[in-house]
Amino acid sequence: MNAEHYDKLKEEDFISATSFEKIRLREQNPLFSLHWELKTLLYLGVMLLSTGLGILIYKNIDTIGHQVILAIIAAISIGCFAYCLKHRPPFSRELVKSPNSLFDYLLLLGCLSFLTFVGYLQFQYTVFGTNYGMATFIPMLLLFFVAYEFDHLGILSMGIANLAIWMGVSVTPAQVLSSGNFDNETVIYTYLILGLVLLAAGQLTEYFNFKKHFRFSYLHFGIHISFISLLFGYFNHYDAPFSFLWLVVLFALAFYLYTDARKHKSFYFLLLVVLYSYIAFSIIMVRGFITINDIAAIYLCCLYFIGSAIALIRLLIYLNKQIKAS
Amino acid sequence: MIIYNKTWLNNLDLQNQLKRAHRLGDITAEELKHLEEKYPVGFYSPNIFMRVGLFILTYIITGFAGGLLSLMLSDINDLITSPGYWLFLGIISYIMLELIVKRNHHFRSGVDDALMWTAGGLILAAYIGYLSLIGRHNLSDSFESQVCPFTFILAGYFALRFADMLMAVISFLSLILFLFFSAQSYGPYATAFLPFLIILVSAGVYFLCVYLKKYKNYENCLIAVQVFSLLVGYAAGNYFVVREMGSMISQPLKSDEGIPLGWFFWAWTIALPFVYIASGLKRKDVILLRSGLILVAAAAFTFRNYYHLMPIEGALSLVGAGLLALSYGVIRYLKTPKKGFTYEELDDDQLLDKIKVESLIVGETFSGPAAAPETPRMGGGNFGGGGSSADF
Repeated sequence: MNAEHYDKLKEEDFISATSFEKIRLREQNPLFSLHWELKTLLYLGVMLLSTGLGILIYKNIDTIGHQVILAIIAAISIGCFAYCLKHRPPFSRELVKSPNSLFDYLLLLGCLSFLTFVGYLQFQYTVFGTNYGMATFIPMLLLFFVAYEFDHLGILSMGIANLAIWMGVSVTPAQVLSSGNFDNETVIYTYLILGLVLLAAGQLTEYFNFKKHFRFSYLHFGIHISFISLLFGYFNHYDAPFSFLWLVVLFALAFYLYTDARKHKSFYFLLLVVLYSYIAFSIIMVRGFITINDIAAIYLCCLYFIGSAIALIRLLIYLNKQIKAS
Repeated sequence: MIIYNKTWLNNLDLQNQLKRAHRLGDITAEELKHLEEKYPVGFYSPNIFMRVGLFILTYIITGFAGGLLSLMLSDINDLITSPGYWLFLGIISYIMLELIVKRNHHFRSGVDDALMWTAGGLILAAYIGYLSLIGRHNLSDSFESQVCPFTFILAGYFALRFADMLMAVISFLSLILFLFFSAQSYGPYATAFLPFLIILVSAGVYFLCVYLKKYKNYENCLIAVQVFSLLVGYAAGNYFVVREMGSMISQPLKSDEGIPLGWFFWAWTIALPFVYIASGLKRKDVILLRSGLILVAAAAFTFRNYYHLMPIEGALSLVGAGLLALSYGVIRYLKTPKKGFTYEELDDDQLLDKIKVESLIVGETFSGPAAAPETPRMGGGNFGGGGSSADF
């Protein structure tokens, strides 16, 4: 902002003298923030280092000996955790602001190398035998513990991904769709349970007033996973007479989440719920059109989509205004 | 030229700066509220989720409306495959766009974005269809060098009228592509000068954008074009790009064969990113600084492509450790602000914080390594989803 602008505002008496003075001071000593640049560099550093070490170990397994490798990984992990323990803020049930981004990323590096460590132990010495559940359960516990103890959202997301691995699926939304392994009934039920567990976890954090800000991550994953698995559940039982039950459950869940999102004034979750319900509703409509089995059905289908999309736009604009106003 | 209400645009700019001043704690909430009432903005521009939602829904509407119309007209001979019909649809979309912006004051709401891209796409498709109709008799000019000027003008028009930054970028890229394709038709000498020509044009566009900074209404467009002119200017002199493009256009080079003026292109490849960073720091210009940081990676990849100093994993680990050390050092150095630089987050963007983008990115990218303990199972042939039934 140029100075004359503020001069004018001050003359018109919109800005008090103290505010004007503050702005003028800032104009004179402009500060240039390197926050995001440095944060990105830290992120890249952690990513490259953990990838590089991973490949290094994989390639040199025969030459440098397992104990040495294990020792190196353990040293990195311990070093990172030691730094974090030394600089950590005291634990609290509320949001704890991390001392700096370096802390965040060293914590991340520590967790990643711990995961590599456990994976390596299992691969080389099969410490958990064939009990693969254990091999994934322990890292998951650690991730959740670290996430809560040090208040780290990124590690919480990793913990959720590990929970999914432990339950036998891999979870980040990109993989949910791209792996596309939805023909298996067990997978659908596992996903559904996982999604509901996450939703419940999100609600419980608030109920017990324990790390309330984690609610977003739980609900974000929970909503996507539950709705996608319900939709796929419906398609998997498409010809069965009771297939509509899946959609009934979906609409019930949507209604619950809708009231919940209204209560929390979260437009993001509201949008997700509305869009997923719209998809489900359109699936029913299209199925209806297909049964008509006439050229007129195509016209009807086009008209339905035009009309419903316009209605949806109006609804979203209305909801957005409501949330803003409340 | 610009379609939007100019007073509102100025007020919007003012409001944004005042909001920033409020976030920094310079002005009080009351002052902000008063000023917002004094300088109102009447645009409808919702948040990013809403914008995405409206964008998708508008596409559904236009798609099905167009489909319905075509279905009804499909009995008429050749009508719906003729370029004239596409032009007709494009013009309808464009009229809708003008109406929605003028009457309902949509401003980057998703609806206007969708209509703009539909209109632009249909008009371009009509032009290409027209070209291929007349092209049966006329093969003198290459196809691309006829399309590029058209997209340059079309996207340029949209950028000027709706101040849309992606359209501005497309317009700029069409200009570069036009140079690229038309130089080919002027023989080998033109091709040899091509890198220098593109560098000159990019530099010209960059400085023009910097010069035009005072046109606040187009701030977004100018920033976007600056970024792309910096990137294209670098790419045009990048050793790898020059070599591959050169051997694609003229004769293929042998694998160990160099290119004329190789030293110049190598210097350009390695030095330019650092020039960007240095001048970005000197002029406190985020665009230059970030472009430079991105291009350092490009320079590293180019170098590695020709000279293998060490295996990839060693390089990754070393660079990763180096980056960690570097950023640690800089953060320590900037603990108290020095020379006008600070590590503190001055202007945290509310929205990005709200949806916790950072945590999601970490979760997405690191779930690969997180899956490491899964490896033994992969050997068993039942990984991920398939494994669940067997093991649990």
